[in-house]
Amino acid sequence: MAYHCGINECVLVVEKKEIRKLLDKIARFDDHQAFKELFDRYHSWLFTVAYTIIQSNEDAEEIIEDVFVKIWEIRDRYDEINNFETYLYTVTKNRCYDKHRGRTKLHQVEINDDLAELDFMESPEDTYLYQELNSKIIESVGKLPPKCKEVYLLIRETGSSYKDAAQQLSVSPKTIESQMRIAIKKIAYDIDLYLKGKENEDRNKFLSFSIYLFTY
Amino acid sequence: MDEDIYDIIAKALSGEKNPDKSKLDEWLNENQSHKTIFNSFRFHWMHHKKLPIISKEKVYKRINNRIKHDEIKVKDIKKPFWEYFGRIAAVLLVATGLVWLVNNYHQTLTKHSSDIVEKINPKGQKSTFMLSDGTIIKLNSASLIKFPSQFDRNKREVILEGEAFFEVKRDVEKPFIVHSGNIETTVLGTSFNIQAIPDHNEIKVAVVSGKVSVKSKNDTLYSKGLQEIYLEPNEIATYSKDQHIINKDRFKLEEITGWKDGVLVLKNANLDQIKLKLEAWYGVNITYANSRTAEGEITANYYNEPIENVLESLAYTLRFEYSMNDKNIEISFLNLKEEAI
Repeated sequence: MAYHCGINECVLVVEKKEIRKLLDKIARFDDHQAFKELFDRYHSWLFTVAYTIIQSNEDAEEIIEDVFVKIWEIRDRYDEINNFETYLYTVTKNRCYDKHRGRTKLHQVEINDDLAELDFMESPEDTYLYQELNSKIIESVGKLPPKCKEVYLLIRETGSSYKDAAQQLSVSPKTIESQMRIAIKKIAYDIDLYLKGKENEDRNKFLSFSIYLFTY
Repeated sequence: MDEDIYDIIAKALSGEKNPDKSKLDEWLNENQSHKTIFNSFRFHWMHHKKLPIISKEKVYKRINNRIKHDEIKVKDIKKPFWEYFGRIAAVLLVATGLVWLVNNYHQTLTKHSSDIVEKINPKGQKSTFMLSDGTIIKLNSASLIKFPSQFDRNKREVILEGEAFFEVKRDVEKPFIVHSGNIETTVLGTSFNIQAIPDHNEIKVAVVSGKVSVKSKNDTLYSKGLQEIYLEPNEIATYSKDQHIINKDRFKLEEITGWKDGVLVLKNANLDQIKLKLEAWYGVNITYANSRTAEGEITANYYNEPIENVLESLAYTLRFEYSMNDKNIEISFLNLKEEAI
């Protein structure tokens, strides 16, 4: 809906200006307070990105540390950066791959390395939305019929194929296929419902915002 | 909705062979909520275990240690002079070239090589100090100012949050610029007062002597462009943060700059404004014991009075009693009915 998008864009534009101001303070005055604000704003998003790639709590924290130290070190070159969030995202991602490459065989961990798969985490707002929806999905999975839940969890957690899952549960692959379909359908329905509720909430927020503008 | 699509999503997520890619794409492109639903599934499948939470404080501490350490390292290089002699000559040549380039092509010189001095006054404390160029600054309570220990070659810049009175040493080569919120005040040499309290909607620049330029920065969504006005002595500029407009007016000297000589000025102030002012001025903490019974506006000047005297006089006009315990003051309003009985 047009007006609904409008307000989000407004908020985003204002936020981008805020970020520029913070960067300016850091670059010109070595402002540690502004740097802390920058950290507060972005650490959680970048941590989620790093953790998703590298699947280790400790490593992800080290990467966040490195990324912010780098941000501090390059503070006289901020004006070369077009979009600061894209920059943060890219630096974080690259750092994950560097770290992974530098590992000895002993500590080898599996990483999610399909870059295309991460395209929905490029902005902090999106990432927070998916984190929120993730907990909704977990809730929704909890409500699935027992048989359906068993099949869904087995496949998601072990990554086994329909055929292997069928063997393990001694049912036909067709049963697995139909149980998976039911699971996805029910969960998708719940997410859709939740999103619609959120949209209404946003619209109400917008209405009260316009009333606020009107009164002032 | 087609039953098939759930089958396709399930297969795409689990890596099963032959999901109908083109049908999935078609469905995804139908609307934004389809995309959101599918992406939330992908996010969910990527996080088998519960998402951990970053230990924020620990990580920030480590970052902070590293960036502080980094600064010390730069300063600690101490080698015998002669080792540097050859290099200095070369560096000087290059540096002169650079400075020339920067000055000619880049108006805003970003620098962070020199030390930044930060002066912070807590509530209840004022201070006066002199900058390296001879400028004198009187900083009000609950205010903060930042400046480099050595100014740039071609300008003098400081950042202010709160209120300060400036007596700027005249230097036509190096304008003196005060950044406060969205407002930039530029002078060559004069005395003026700036009030830029973060929680207040207005930023005020008042000129006592000389000439001052006040500019609003063109960096908000609603501003109609950059605004700049010039002030003469006894003129005050008021910038409204929500309307992004600068207005010019005249002012009474004591009302604006009285604070620097110890005069607490209340002008048409209501109780909440008075409360904030007293808290900042005396560094006290004021609470209300009951809800207010009397509304009223106060106009008064107090010359270096202790807080007890100020409270006494207010208590009479605004009908309240107060008790004071160290820095904590509790105000109880008199009930007019009870009083009558």
